[in-house]
Amino acid sequence: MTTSHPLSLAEELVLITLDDETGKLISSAKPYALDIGIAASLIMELTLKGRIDTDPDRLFVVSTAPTNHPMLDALLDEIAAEKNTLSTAAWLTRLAKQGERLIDEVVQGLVERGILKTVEKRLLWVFKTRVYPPSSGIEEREVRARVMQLLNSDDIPEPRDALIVGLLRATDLMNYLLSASEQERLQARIDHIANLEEINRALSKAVHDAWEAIINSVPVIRIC
Amino acid sequence: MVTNVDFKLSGRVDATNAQQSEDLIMAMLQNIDQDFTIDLSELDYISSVGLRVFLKTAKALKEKKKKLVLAKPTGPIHDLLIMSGFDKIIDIQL
Repeated sequence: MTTSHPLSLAEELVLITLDDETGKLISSAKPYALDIGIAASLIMELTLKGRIDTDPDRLFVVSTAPTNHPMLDALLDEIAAEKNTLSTAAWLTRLAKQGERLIDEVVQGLVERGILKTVEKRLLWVFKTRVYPPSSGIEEREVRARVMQLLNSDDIPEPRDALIVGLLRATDLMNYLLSASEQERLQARIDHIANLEEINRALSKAVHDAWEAIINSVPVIRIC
Repeated sequence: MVTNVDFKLSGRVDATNAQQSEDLIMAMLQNIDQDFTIDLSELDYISSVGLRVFLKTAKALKEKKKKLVLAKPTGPIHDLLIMSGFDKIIDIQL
C-alpha cells in the first residue's frame, strides 16, 4: 500500500540509485560516495526538521525532540551523545561507516510503503538474491522531473531541492540523470545550486577526502 | 548606497530563531510590492538554517518580480555569503 506522505531525501536518493530494470543499486563512480551520501541525506533531513544546524566549522544539535521517524531519531540520539564538537564533514565520514545498514533500512521502508517491491532471484541457479524494482516508478520520475526542472531554469531553489542536487552531485548520480553534454552545459548551475547549502559543500569534501584516502592507500609500484 | 531598510537582523540567527525571523519577513512581504532590504550590520553569526531564510525570502520576492537586498554585512557574514554563492542570486550591498 502506498501512502501520500512525502518522500524523505534518503528515500529520494535511494530511488534514484536503484536501477529500474534490475532493481539493484547502481554503482556510484566513487567508492563510499553512496555511504556518505545516505548519511548526509539523514543529516539534511534533521536540519529541515529543525533538530540540528551547521556552519562551516561544526554541526550542532538544536533540539532533541523526537521526529517520530526511527532512523532520524536514532541518528539524532547518536549526535546528541557526542561530547566533542565535530565538523559536518567529520560527522559524515563517521556515519558513512553505517552506510550499508542505513541504505537497507531506507529500502525496507520503501518496500513497506509499497513504493518498491521485493523480488527474489536465483544467481547461478543456486544462490538466492533479493532485488527491489519500483512498483510503479512514479515517485522516482517525480524526483527526476523536479531536479531537471530546477536545473533548466533560473529559479531560486527550495532548500530541499538544493540539498538533493548536492546529494546527486557528490554521489556522481547526475551521470544517470543527465547526458554528458547536458551535464557539461548544466555543471555551473549544478555547482551553484549545490553550494548554496553548507552540508552539500561538506558532503563533497567528505567524498573527496574518502577518495583521496583510497588513492593514497594504493601501494606505488616504482619501475626502475 | 543603502537608502531604505525594511528589516534588521542582529545578534545570532540559527535554527533556534530562524523560523521566527522567516515568519516575520513573510508576513511583511504580504503587504510589500517593492524590493526588500534586510540590514545585516548588527548580525554577528548566521548558520546554515539561518541562511535558508534569505533564500526563501529571495524566492518569494522573485515570484513578485522583486528582489532581496542584503545590506551592510560584516566581514565574516559577507565572506559566508560569497562562499555560499548567495551573491549570484541576491543583491549584496556593502
